[in-house]
Amino acid sequence: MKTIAMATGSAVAAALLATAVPAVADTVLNVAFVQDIRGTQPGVDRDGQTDTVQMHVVEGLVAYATDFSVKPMLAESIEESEDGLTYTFPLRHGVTFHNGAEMTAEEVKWSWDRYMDPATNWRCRSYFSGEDGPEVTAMEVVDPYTVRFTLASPSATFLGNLARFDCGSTAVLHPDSVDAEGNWVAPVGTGPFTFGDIRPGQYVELLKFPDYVSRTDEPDGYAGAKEALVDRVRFNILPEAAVKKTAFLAGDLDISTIDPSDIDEIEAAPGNVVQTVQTAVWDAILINTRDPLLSDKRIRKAIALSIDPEQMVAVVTEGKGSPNPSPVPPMSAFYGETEAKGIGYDPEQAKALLEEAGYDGAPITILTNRRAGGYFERALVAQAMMAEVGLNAQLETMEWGTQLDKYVTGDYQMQSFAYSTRLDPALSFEMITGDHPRKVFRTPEAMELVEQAMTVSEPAKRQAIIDQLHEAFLEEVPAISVNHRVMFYAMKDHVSGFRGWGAAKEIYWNVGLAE
Amino acid sequence: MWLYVLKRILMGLPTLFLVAVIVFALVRLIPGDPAQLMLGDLADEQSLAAMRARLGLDQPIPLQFLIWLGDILRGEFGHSIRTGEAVLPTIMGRFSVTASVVVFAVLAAMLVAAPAGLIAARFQNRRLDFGIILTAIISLSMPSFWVGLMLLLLFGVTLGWLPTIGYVGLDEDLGRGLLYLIMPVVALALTEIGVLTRMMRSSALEVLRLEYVTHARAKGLSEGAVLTRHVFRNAAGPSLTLLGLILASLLGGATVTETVFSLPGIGKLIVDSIYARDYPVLQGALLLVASVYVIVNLVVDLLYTVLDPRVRLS
Repeated sequence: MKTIAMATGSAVAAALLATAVPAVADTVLNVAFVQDIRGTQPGVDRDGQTDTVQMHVVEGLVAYATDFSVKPMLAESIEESEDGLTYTFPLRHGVTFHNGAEMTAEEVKWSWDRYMDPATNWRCRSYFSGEDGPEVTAMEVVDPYTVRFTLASPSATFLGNLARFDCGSTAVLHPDSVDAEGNWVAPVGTGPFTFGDIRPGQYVELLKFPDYVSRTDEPDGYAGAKEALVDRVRFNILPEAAVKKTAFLAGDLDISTIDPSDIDEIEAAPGNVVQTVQTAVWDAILINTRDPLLSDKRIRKAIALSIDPEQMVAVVTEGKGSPNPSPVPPMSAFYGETEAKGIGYDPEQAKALLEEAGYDGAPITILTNRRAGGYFERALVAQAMMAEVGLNAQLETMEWGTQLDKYVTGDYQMQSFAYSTRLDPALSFEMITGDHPRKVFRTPEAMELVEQAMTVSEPAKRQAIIDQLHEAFLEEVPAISVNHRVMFYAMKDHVSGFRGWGAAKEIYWNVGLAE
Repeated sequence: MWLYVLKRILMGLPTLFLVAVIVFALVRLIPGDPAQLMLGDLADEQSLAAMRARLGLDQPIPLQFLIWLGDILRGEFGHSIRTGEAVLPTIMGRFSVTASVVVFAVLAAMLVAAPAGLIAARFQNRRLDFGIILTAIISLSMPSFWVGLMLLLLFGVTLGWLPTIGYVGLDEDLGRGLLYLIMPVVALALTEIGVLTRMMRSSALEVLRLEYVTHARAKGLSEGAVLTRHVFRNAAGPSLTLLGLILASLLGGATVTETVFSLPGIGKLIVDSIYARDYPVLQGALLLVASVYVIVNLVVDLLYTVLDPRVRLS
């Protein structure tokens, strides 16, 4: 009787174990992810997070490298004409789509025509339709392995726009991605992964594409060789920092972003590694130049002079980051000596300027929020530093959506803000320059310079324009440039090959798990 | 009785309509809009306008309301602005997750709280009573976020017995599903045990003073029989009302517990859709929560007649 009971018991245990372990022992990389993806359609059903996942599944003709240069991806090479009006892309041979078909110029053309159809709602159509940059007047199939784009006028940003993440890298898709009526089904792309199970509120899974045809050049950001080293990547939806950290410590996550304050604890536990990554996400404190009080340049300058960027960044990043006085990210080829120069920290001069401007202690409200990324900490430190010189700064903490609304409508005095990665120095200034209420840098000179930076592609000339823009930025003080954000990734030491990069978009190809 | 049930359900309809109007108006009073949130700092006039048009947010608000009402009457509830998924299956799926945690937790809490409350009342002002009350107060004062994290640290990190993230539906795999439910159920039950124990104790105290209890004892009934047969049945009424309220409020989303244990429940869905300004999902989910209140209240009223023969439906 007893033996039978025991046998039953172990059978139950065996059954439980059997269900706990998947039938085929495949390798799964578990990573933390902040929210559900919006969909699977690149450049259309997207947001910044969704792009990160989609970029594992699809590829475009060109791609961004770690130094933010644009390199060929599905194209074998990039051939630009002397006059800058035509771009010819010879295609790589033998690249296969996820359905087994070979990629040819025909699919490239089909994909392009679909993007340019207004019904597709492609996020980036206006960059190529002539509304927002030079029009692409023709896109032709030269031969089965060559395509050519013709532009109405030269553009410094054409290749960069093709490669943009928010454009879905202008991914080349197989027509099977849509149904007979042209409705989106699922991406049939060329990337090293395909979409697996998508469970809202739980996870998104990517599956290894076994027939992926890789480039042979060195891995370099979104460019270069790619290989899926695990069978599945599971993006676990875990927005809460404390939960993420606990799951990582328990070994249920292999890679997770962490807050700077958790670095010591994570590193102290055996088997953990923390990777610090300098990104191109720009953290800044915006000053609304339309505000009656802050329209006085002397007060804006006093605010900037009252803030010690070294100390602020040290506090927010636990000493791991460094300040950057320029909107241009430090890894950019256009980041030079001029860009490294800031306005300086000088509380005495700040007081003098306030005196001169006749500042009477009127309150200045800084909007901030409690999202991850140090928004609140930066605002808090700024408030304290401003108080030192007699500026009556007050914090108002709000929910992100509400703050974003105030940003767009220009209904604020100062706010702790951040801009996602801009990979072109012209865009680093364009994002704050203009007449719209959301833009703070609105001198005619700045607008003119940005306009030039968008069209001039000759490097030395471009550098001169960017330098001028930086100097004008320091003179005008439409914002306080704090730093380009450093991110911290906690990893288990059995993870190999993970490399964070400036784009702040995690890449899980070439990432393996040791036994 | 069925006529009564039907009448109550019909009475619930105007309530739900009112909820629909209020919910629709309130979610649109939140500053910001989904198009802005999806485009973030990359938003420009063209892309914002295009996105708003695509989401139907460029229509006048009263028209948007009528479109939504039409969707409800067709049983569709619209589609999520963020993910494009149909709202009804989404909220029902999420609700089933919350329900499985909450039902187990409330059952567990009842099984502990009912005897504990009865015993505390029976031994009023004695050491056992103080012990039970102290435990109850501690249990209901602990923030559920903290309790959840402590459970995760103990059973997930230190002992490594239970998974810290993920969820498996009971219908998919009963064994693993239960494994994932243990910690959230315990965390949720711990808080509710305190509330229910105190409630049970105070209503039992009132009943214990009544003459029929003395009479039952005089009859020579054992103390156990007195407590279960006479005291419990009569004291259960007020606790039942409270239980109904607790159940309804938890079914409407045990948001904190869901967040800590990364469960795809209705509470987390509501919070996420507020952040994303996902109007259709938010409206659908809140309407569902209101319906849950209506139904739970009805069930509690019907249970009265079962537990207490003095209550009759006329």
